Amino acid sequence: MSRRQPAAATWVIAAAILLVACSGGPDRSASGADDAPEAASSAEEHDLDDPDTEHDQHDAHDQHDHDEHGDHDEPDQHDGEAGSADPSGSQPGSTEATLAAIRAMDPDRLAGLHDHDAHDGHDDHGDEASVDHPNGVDPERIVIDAIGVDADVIDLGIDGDGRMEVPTDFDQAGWFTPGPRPGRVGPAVIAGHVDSRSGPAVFYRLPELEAGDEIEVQGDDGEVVTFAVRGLEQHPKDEFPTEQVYAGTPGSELRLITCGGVFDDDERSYRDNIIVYAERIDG
Amino acid sequence: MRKTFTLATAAVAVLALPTAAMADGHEQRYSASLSQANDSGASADAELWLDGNELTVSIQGQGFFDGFPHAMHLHGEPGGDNVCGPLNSDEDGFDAKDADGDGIISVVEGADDYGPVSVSLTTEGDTSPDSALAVDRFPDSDTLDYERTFEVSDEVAENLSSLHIVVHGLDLDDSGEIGTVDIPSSLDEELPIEATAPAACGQITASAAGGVDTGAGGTATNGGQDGTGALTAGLLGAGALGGLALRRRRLTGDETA
Ligand SMILES: [Cu+2]
Repeated sequence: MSRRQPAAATWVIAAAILLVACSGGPDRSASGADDAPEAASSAEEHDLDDPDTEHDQHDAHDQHDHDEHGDHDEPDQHDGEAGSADPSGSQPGSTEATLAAIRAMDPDRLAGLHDHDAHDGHDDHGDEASVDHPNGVDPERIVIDAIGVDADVIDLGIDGDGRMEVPTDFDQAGWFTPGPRPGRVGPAVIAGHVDSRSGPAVFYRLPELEAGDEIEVQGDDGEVVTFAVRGLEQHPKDEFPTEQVYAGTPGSELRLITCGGVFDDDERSYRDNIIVYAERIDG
Repeated sequence: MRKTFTLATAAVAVLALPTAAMADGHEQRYSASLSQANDSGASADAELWLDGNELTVSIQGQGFFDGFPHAMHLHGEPGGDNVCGPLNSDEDGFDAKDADGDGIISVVEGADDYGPVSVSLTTEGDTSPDSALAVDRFPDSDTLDYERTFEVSDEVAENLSSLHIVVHGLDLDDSGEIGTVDIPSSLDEELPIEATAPAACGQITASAAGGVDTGAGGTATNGGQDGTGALTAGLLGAGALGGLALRRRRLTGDETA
């Protein structure tokens, strides 16, 4: 696409957009319920039985006797009429009695309680059921039509200072492998250079991206996951928004990172990072 | 450009090593922000550091039931697609996930999304799934105050970003006691649901320190960057630049960049 050229006038506009984005912080409004901090409080909404009137000691006792004779290996969530067991004789339903009941259990039985057949397959995640490649892709290429990017993606880790490695090839982008795969839930991070010592590099036109622009990441099996830009930010590298970039997200997100701002000739380095925040849209 | 760095990174590029971060022996930081499950009102912040197969986990919580051991685990199939999923009554998908319709996400119902126990975050001794309910080796305070370093399998070390931290045990009916709600645990009918139901869950993600060195300056003086540079200079306080030079110096050799 040729709709935007890296002319000086465009750079000013792009920078103005960045300024707006920086002052407002990241737009987390679309991030879903997982972040919701409010605690809808418990008791009323759960429609629970009143423990004082409903707790049935006989049931609990019977259950306990029954279990003394084996049948330990198939705990069944639908089978339960019992309350907490109470082998200690302390106040039924109390924290103390609950603890005593657990401690009185056969250790082997207790140790086996994680062996439930829970995660049967990858197709029953409720709302996520329709997502293609819910586990993301091992990225090989990144394609951003809006700014003419079609580049290799290599693997990146951290260097000896705990900082993210960068590609040695200025035409390649790199995926931060310790983080989630692109397309998986969480923030996948892909970095690329804005320029080499002689001219533009793979992410030179990253600041031109606008909300809604699409980013495709291709996996090594040819599968593709698609993201849409949510916003851009520019931060000094020594005030890098680590939490915003790397912290968990309820959906699948992508961060693209390159350099920006003033180039420090003495340090041979740009002072700022430009960060593009994107969300998966083909899920 | 430092030659060793160039070679190492080139090798990564060619082989596409899946564990680039660990291959060179650096400590990788991870974190998790745990939010409430079953409307517990509890939350926690966790930090994890991985050095080879040695994992250090630190968890600071708030609002957990004070005085009952909170089973804590790394849940998920390493490399799998597990998520915390809807764990509170006001979240989309909660009703579908609450298969028995009792208004509570049990361990088994929760595990449909967050997966099986991979590691038990015990205070001492065994950390395998067999210790998932080792009640005498879990934190029992409202703030958890957990920190421990232990060995994890290659599988876990290479896939931490696909796992979640789940903290169990909560006072569902605000009775002040664990065990008053007359519903059995989904794990074992002898246990009350309050002892085992999830109270908080958080996704583990990796992070790198500081910014990313992705520019060598080839376009900085040829006009293209002038607009950005001028505007940004106005944003930066003098103090912001001071600390930068110090840290930069060590890295100058790495500026590929
Ligand atoms: Cu658990």
